[in-house]
Parts: sequence; C-alpha cells; structure tokens
Amino acid sequence: MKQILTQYLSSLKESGELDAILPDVLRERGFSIYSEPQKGAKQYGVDLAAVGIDPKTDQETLFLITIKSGDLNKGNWNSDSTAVRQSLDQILGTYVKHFVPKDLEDKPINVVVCIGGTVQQSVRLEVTDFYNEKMKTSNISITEWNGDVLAEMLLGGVMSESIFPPPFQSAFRKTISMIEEPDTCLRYFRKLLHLIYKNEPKTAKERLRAARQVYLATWVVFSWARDVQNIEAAYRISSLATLHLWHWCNPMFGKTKLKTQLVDVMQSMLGLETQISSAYNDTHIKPFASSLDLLSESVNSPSNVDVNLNLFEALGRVSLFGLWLQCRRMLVREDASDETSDKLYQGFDFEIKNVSNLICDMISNNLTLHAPIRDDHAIEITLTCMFFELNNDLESIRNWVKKVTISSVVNHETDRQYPCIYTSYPDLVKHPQLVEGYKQKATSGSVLYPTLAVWLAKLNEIDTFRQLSEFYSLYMQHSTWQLWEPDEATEQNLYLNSNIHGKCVCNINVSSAEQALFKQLEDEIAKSDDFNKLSAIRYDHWPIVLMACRLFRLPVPIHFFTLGPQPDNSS
Amino acid sequence: MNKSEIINAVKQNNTFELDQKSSKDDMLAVGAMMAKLYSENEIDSLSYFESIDWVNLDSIPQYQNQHFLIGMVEIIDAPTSRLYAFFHKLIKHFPKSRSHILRESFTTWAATHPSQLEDFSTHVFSADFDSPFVATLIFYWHKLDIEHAFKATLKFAYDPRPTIKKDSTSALKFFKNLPKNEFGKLEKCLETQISSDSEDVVCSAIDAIQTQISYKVYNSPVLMSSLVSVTSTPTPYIHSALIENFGKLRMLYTEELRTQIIYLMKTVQSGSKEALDRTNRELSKLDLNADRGLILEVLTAILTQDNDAPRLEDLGLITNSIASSSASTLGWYISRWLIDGNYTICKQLSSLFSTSGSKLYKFDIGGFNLTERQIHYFSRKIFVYLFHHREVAVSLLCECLVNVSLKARKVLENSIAAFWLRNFRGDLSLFEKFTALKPSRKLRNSINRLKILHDAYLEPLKNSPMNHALQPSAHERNVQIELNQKESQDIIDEVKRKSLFFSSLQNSTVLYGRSCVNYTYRDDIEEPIPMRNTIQLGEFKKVATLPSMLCLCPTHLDDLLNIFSQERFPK
Repeated sequence: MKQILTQYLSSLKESGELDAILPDVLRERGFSIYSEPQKGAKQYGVDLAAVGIDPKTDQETLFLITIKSGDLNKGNWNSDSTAVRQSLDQILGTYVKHFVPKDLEDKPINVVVCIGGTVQQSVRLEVTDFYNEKMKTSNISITEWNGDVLAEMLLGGVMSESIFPPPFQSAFRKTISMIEEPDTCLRYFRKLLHLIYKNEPKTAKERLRAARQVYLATWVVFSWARDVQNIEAAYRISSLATLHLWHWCNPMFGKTKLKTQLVDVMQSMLGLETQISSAYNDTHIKPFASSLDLLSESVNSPSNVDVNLNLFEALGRVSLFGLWLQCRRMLVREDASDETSDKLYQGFDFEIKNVSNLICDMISNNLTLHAPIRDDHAIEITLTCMFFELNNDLESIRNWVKKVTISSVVNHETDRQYPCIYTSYPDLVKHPQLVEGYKQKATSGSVLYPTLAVWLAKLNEIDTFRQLSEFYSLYMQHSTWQLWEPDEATEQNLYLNSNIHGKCVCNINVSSAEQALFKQLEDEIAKSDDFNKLSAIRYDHWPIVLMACRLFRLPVPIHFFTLGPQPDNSS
Repeated sequence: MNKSEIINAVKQNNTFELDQKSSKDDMLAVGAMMAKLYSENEIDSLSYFESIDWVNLDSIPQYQNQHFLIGMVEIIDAPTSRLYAFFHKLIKHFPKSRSHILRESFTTWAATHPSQLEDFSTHVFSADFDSPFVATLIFYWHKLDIEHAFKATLKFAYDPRPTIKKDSTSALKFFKNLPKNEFGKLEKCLETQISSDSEDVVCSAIDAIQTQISYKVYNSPVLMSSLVSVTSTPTPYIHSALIENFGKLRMLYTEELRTQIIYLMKTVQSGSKEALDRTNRELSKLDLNADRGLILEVLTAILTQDNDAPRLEDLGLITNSIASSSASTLGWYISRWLIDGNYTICKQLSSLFSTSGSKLYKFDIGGFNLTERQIHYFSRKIFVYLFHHREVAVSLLCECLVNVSLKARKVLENSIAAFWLRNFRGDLSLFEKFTALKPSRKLRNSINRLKILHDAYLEPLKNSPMNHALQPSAHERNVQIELNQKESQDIIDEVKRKSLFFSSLQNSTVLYGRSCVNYTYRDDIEEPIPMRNTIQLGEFKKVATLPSMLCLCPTHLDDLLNIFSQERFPK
C-alpha cells in the first residue's frame, strides 16, 4: 500500500492535485487549515498554512507549507521565482514577517517543503546547507515532507485508521490493481463504497469522514488511471462517487463548521469529477474527434454494436460535461466583482465553445451517432440537445436530430438495427432478430421517439415531426411511447439507484400538432412538483440529476424539456 | 468357357456366367459361339435368353448375359419372324433401367442384317401391339432402300400405336434427299402430326421438321408455318422442343418463327427445368460477341420476369461462357447490365465472378459512348453491385476514370476515395496494379490524386494513439466470440444437414498432418480390394474483406447502397 501511495504521490501534479489532496490529509490528522491553495492569489511562497501538533516537539505549531510535485532537482530548487528556494526566501523574508495572523504569532513556526517525490542527490548538499543556514539565523525550523513521509502520513495517520480501515484496504487495492479493466475496477469500487457506507453514517462528522475517504479514493484511482492513459475507470468511479457523496452529504449542508466542511468536500468532489471528465475528453475524445471515422475506429472492434454503444456513451459524457460548464456559468456568484465575473464568464464561454465544437465534430465525423441502437440513447440525445439549447445554438444540431429521427424510422421499417428496448449486451449483439413477434417485443415501449418528437417540435421541424407521427400510426401502435418524471420517492433513490422510483408519462401525444405535445408536457409538469423538490434542483446543481439519469439509464425528466425556446406558433 | 460347357448349361436351362476377370470381348465371343451353336442346331440360344429372369438376375450375371446377347445377335442367322418375336418378348421381360441394352442389341442386329429389315417391318405392320424398334429399323432400312423405307415410314406415322407413331414421325428426319413430290408427302405428314393431340408425336414432328430445315434441301414454308402453329401456347415439353436447335437453325428460320422462339426463350421460367436447360444450352451455342445483343436481350428478359424468374446461376452454361470469356466480352455484358441498372439482374452479377481467384481485367467501356454524367452514374452502380468483387470493380472504375475529362475525373476521384477506399482501405494497391496492366498517364495522375485523398483520410487513423477507454470490455469481447462461434457452428450444422455429401459420408477428424491417406473397399466383390486414396487437406475457408463502413456505420452504408441502386440512368 505504501509503495502504491508513494508512487501515486510522486505522480501528482502540483496544482490542483498535490495541493488539493494535502489539506484533506492534514485535516484527517487533526490540523486546522487557515490558508488553502488559491490560483492567481499572491501567497509569498506559502501554498498551504495549517495549525497542528508537531510530533517532534509535541507543541501546537504553525506549519507553512510550500508544495512542489515530483522530485526536487536543480531545475525546481533554484531556477526562477517559482522554485523552492525562492519560495522559502519569500516565506522567511515576507510571509513570516507580515502575513502570520495575530492570534498565531506566538506559535512556533515550521516551514515545510512538501514534495511528491524525493530530493535528488545532485541538490541534496545545497538544500541541506540552505536549511541549516536559515535555521541558524532564525528560530524557525524547516522540515521536508517527501513522498515517503506523505505516504506514511496517509497510511499511518489517515489511511489505515480514518480513511481506509483494514476491511476497506482489500477492496481499495483491488480497485487500483484493476484500473485497466474498468468493469472489474468499478465492481471493487462499489464494494469499497458499500463498506464505507455500510453502517449508514448518521452524524455530519461521520458523513464528512466517509466523504473524504471516497474523495481520496477517487483521487488515487484518477491518478493511476491517468498514468495508464485510460481514464475510463476513473470516469465511471467519479460519477458513482459524486452521486454517493451527494446522497449522503446534501441532507446536512448547512452553516455550522462541520456542515460547511461537508459542502466543501462536495465541492471538491464536483471539482474532481469535472477534472476527470475533462481528462476523459482530452485523452479519449478530442484527439479522435476531428477526423472522419477516427473515433469510431478507435473502438477497435469488428462489431458495429460496440462502435454504436461506445460512441453514444461518449457523446453523453461530453454533453454532460458541457452541461456542467453551463451550470457553473449560471452559478457565478452574483456578488462577484464585474471584473472577476467577466473573466469567469469568458473562461466558461471559451470552454463551452470547445465542447460545442467537440460534439459537432463527433457527430459529423461518426455516422453511427445518427442511428441509435438502444431506445434509451434518448438520454444521450437529450443531454446533447439540452447542451445546445442552453447554448442558444439548437441550429447546430438541427440536421442531426432530423437524421436520427429518419434513420430510426427507416431502420425500423427495413428491419435494420432499429432502436430497441434491450439494454443487455448479448441481446444487443443479436439484435435485430427476424423471428416472429421479436420486433413488437423489441419496440414494445419507447422514450426515444417521444424525445425526438419534443426536439423536432422545438426545432420547428414540422415535416419530420409529421413523419414521426405517421410512423407511430402505421407501425408503432403496439408501442407505449412514454417520457419520465420524478415522484416523491425519487429524491431518496435517484442518486444511489437504490430502488425503483419516478412516474412514467404515457400516451405521449405525437399524433396531432406539435403544440399539443407541449401542452401535454406543460400540463403534466404543472401537476408534478416532485422535480422541484429534488435536492440537486433546490441547490441549483441540476446536472447531478442528469448525471444520475445517464449513469442509471433513466430518461431525462420532462421538466428539463421546458428549458429554452418554445416552438414558433406563428409558423 | 468352351463349347460343351455352353451346350450343357443351355440344355440344363441354367443361367451361366464367366469368371469375374473376363473381358467384354470374352463375353461377346461367348455370344458369337451361342449364335454359331444356334445355326448348327446344337442349342436354342434364343430360347435361352427368353427364359432368363432378367429382373431378378444378379448384377454380374446380368451384365455378362447382356453382352452374350449382343455378341449373339451380331451374327445370328435366324428367321425374321423368330427374331421379331424374340426382341418383343425380351423387351417385356427386361428391366426398364436396362432396356437400352436390348435396344443396343437390336441396333447391332439391324446394322448387321439390313436385308431382313423390310421383313421385320411387315411383322410390325401385321402385329397388333406396339414396338419400340421402329426408329432403328427405319434408320438402317433407309440407308439400304430409301424409297420403300420412306413409304413404310409414312404408313407407320399414321399408325394408331403410340410408340410406332411417335418414332416413325421422328424418323422422317432421316430422309434427306427425297424427290420433290416425296418431300411434299413428308411435309403433309409432318403438318398433320404436329397438330396431333399427343404431346410426344408433336415433339417428334418438331424434331423431324428442325432436322429437315437443317438439311437446307428445300425451303419449306409449310414446315416453318407448322412450327409457328405450335408456338402460341405450348406445353412445357413442346416449349422445350421448340427451343432445341435454335442456336443452329435460327438463321434458317423465318422472321416470324425466329421471333416466336426467341419469345419462348424469354418466357422460360425456373419451374420449367427442361425448357430452361434447353434455353441455357442454345444460348451457350451462340457467339458471345456476334450475338451479344440477342443473348443479352434474352437473358435480361428471362431474369426480369415477374413470376418464377430463373436466376443467372440457373443458366450455368451461358453464365460460365460469359464468365470465362475474354475481358472485353465479359466487360461488355457487365457494363451493359450495370448501365441498364436493373436491380434484379445487377444483384446477380456476382454469378459471373468467382470470389476466390479474382483478378483485374482490361475492360473497355469506350464503346458505350457514355456522357460524363452517365459515367458517374455507372461508377455508383459499380460501387453497389460489384461491392464484393473488388478487382472487377477497380478495373471498371479505372475505365471510368480514363473516360472522363479532368474536371469530371477529379469529382469521380473524390467519390471513389469517399466511398470505395473508405470501405476497402487496401484497394489503392489494386488501382496501382491496374496501371501496370493497362498503363495510362491519365490514370497514373488520377491514382496519385487518389492516394493524396486517401492518405488524408487514413493518416489520422494510422497515427492515432490507442483509445483504451472506448474499447469493448472483456465481457463484451467474450460475448462476441461466443456469438461468432455459435454462428459458425450453426452454419456448419446447416450445411451438414442440407448436404447429401455430408449425410452419405462418415466424418473423420484429422488431428495431424497436411494430407490424409485412407482406404476404401469395393463392396460388390466377395473379397474386397483395398483402394488407397491420398487426400490433400486444404483450408476450407473463404476470407473476404469486410467493408469498413459495415462496422463504423452500417445503416449509412446500407442507405448509400440503396440510393446508388435506385438511381436511374441519366438520359
């Protein structure tokens, strides 16, 4: 375990990784953090400041920590203003003199050089001389925390006792070792989650500890996944972890110290989830999306079913990432200064634009995305459409929605791989079968067609809408066209997929004009308030609902369809 | 076997046989001895054969006695009345499957005893039962005495006994150089017979008329119109008879008769096996180049009938003739059919090529005088209908490229790169090979541009990193493998179930070696003689490159192929 952790620590990047994990490790050791790493803010060499008991002196001490990833070498010891030596000079010369809070001025100070790896021999002498000289001229001690020390801290102080007690370690170890087999990795991670939450943490403290354990475990998985250039396991785990954390943390969000910390760890988890999604896009989608067929080809399977399933999965993930960006953009604090908010908006707009381009590339270069095999690909289609709708750019996907509709209809009529209700892989590989009664069974219900009807109506694609309506009359009378909405049990079950919940909205009206469809949905929404009672909606974190829908294969609630423009009644 | 043994055996009424190793000549010699002994009044050889229970005789003595019979009749000296009775008695007792042996015996006798034939005919006339020997009788008699033989034949033709009537009608074909007035009688007789109620007699008349026409002695409108008279609604048997000899006689037929018989060939259906075979045979007798218009017209009509249309593979002779003809001939037929674009025929074009051992052809489409637009249309027909015959397709596509202007060629190159090379990525090498086969500067330049286009598509695919996340999981791969194995096993089982070959053989499983030595035993002999066979083992599988789009976007590929197949010839 220690070896795994040491390697893991040495592989962490400084910004957003090593400095993100360290506060949690220190908190678990009883430290109280008073200054966390911040991007852009001038820190005078101090990446992290915390107060805790120094084991060498047994005294409450102020720890001023400067963080550097990987090994300490000539390059990062003394080269430019961000090098360790310069950071130490700034801490000792400026920070200690001017920025130590008044109530901590009487505490002994320990300046910590925290590195993920080790100090290389080439600079060891120089570094030690520097420490000795500085310690001689002041009463400040300087300590080194290398990867080994951090691993000890994680194992001895935190991992074995607080985060991963012995029963958890086996599941965690297996999770890590199976990182290149995402299915198995996920299975062990589920086991880990099960162990962590087996006793259903009741108090905020218990929930906070469990949340940190899940968060750190996710971090470790991500770090290893990145090393092997396969983010798949980390992506799946982070979605599951995020939903678990939300389920257990959100009922206790509040303003007391512990409850604020719960909010913080949830935010950290969401940040990590975003980081993993971004890494997934950067590693597995972007390099393949801009060339014709490349993403499909990268599935590296002779089966078109594999290509279809994997590409729709990828489309859903990228779209969800885009929706998170849009949600975060909406959540930019209203009290932020104009300058700050403008910068944030620009940053989000830039990223949203990139996602938009990425999705357009995926769709135009991979024609399998025009022909869904699974009926529940309606979820991915909705996520994509929602993203473009929130982006006020439905036009970009007008042709795609039309083509998906037409190909689904034509494939059904010609017995090709038409959308079916089956979700198990062996069933899908054998689909379609030409035995009597198969087709009716395979299409006995549908969320895909009503979903397409909604988006066609929003796009004012009247002809295609009519075509879909005619298709229903001619071929799909046996099929229950339906949509979905939450019910009173949804909040309790949505995030963990623990039990069946929600309401199926049947008899979706596509037989008459598109206005009738909207009227039906609006009336239904008006009568169903459970959606607004969902915690993720109450806390303005609506992508969490979408994340749960995508992961647990639930149709996107109809309430999301009311976002954005309505069809043009005048036309 | 010596004389006394024969005498003893015949006298004791025993069926005798020779040693198993005896040759055919030995058997004929025994027959000759029996004829001699008959002449010398030693034994009644004729009675010997009459007394044999031919039906229940074992195969070896039956075989030997048949040859004794032939050997005997060749030199027998017996009264005609006795021989008349002998042959007609034997024909009643001979196994039907062996009646040809008796006819052969009679032919031997007739050929060697022409002076007795007239007498024999007198016995036939005076009897009140039918005879199967009349045709042979007339054949040998007319060589000796055409005048009397002809008179007797006419008389036989009006005889009510069906076999005599039928055979003598047919035998009218033997009379080649009749005087004009006698020919008139023949014409009249055949004109009468062709309107007979008996299908057999009509067919015999058709046979005789066709032969008489082939003699080119008299130009006979009567015979021509006799044939025309039965072309309107012929029975399948007559239909088939009318088609016979068309290849040889068509230039001698009147326009009306020719048109009528061509119509009969065009309307031959797969249910009429005999007529189909005759048509197939007659078409294969035509000159593939000189008569290509007629062949194409007839084949096209046959294959595109609304009901019960035969398939190209049902017309094996003409199909094989075309398939094995020169590149220019083969190319003409394929191109013509592709230009016509008839779906029913074009989808059968694969019958003209073997999937293994395909090769590039030096086709020439210049003779079709296609416009550039038409060549583009033609190229799309090649895409769809020669999809599984890549060498043929590439050969024709190269022809298309060199037959258009530079501007149109570039458009065509784009379309080849976007469709053909995208599906069959290695086929650029076939284009290159074609330039060696039929060098052309235009084509060389074209292929260079194709290479640039194709490389632009292929480069990202080749240089992309592994995309681990999108690859199917171990479970999914296992499902695919199991399914493929099951499908392969199902195919093998189905082949075995349907195959007579498999059902009649015991399977052997060869675990080692590249050839197999086995022994078979002749089981119709008391002491089985082992026969050693060496069977070279081959690899019984066909490897066909699957088009890439079949995996990446199968429904899109299907759509494209549909669109291409439905495109109409641009006028």
